[in-house]
Amino acid sequence: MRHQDFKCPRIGLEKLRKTADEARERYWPEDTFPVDMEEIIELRLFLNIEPLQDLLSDFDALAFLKTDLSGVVVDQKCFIKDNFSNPLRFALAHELGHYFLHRRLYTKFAFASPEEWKDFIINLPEGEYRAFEWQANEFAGRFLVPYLALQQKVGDSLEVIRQQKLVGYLKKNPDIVLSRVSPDLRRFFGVSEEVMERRVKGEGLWPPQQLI
Amino acid sequence: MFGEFIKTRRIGKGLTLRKFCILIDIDPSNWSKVERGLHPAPQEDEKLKKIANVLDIREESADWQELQDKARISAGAIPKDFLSDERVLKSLPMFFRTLRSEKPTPEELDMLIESIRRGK
Repeated sequence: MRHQDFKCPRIGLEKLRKTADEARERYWPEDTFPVDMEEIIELRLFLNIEPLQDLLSDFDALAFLKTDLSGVVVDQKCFIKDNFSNPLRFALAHELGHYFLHRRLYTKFAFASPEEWKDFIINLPEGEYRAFEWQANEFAGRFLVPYLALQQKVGDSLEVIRQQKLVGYLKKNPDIVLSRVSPDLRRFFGVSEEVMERRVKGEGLWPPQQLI
Repeated sequence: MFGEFIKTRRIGKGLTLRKFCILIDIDPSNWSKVERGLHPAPQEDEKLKKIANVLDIREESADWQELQDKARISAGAIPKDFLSDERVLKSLPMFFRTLRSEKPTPEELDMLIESIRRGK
């Protein structure tokens, strides 16, 4: 396959979410949070986790799925440091997104040399590349922060909003109120604030309709 | 050989790379390479006993003997300084998500190829 023929499969948002929900139900039936990505990758999918030096500092990346689908390479320092656990969790879920959504494509490519691989990556159409990444991000968000659990946690936060007399602010500026409650939400799911905010808005749970 | 022997037992015990490395007090990056046959096994008796203990391998058992034998054979293997193109290709990513949400530059791709080739 030539790079100009490389097309991202058109997968609708609903299908992406369904794929993530089904994968989580199958590989994380505990339904507890935060989801333990290393347990899923290593002990349930039997893929390797391979720390590599300077992946973040030299290549601006936290993780990637190997072309032979045998494992996920992760930045060594981030893997060791506790304060990178949330970004790493999302990065691993993102790579799992490629694994579940795009793995058929991986088998279609046969590069003769690293230079051919490099040429392929450089010449990939930017739009197609971004579409792949968007799909993997959507998968990761839904995998780590599923709708029903999120709906319940947002529901729990309504009481806090009432107690702190933030209902008025909620109507005027919902983002400010979200920034007050999102630390509790993101701690529960083990994701960054950015992921948390994208998830509540993406699922139409913010601002909460019960209070406006 | 040694790496596969340990990895099979580690996974069988339900231990992730991280948890196992905490228990045996070793750097996970180095240990991952041992399991993939890119680094030789540790040779110190104390370290091997620690590994065996975590994996419930009793001293004097057949498994303990096998663990020691495989560790010694691993030490005799000549480590490769550079991976072959074939192995490098298997380790490269199809999709490479930079944190700045852009495709990597040609220079970054060259460095990544070199880094994987050297088994960093």
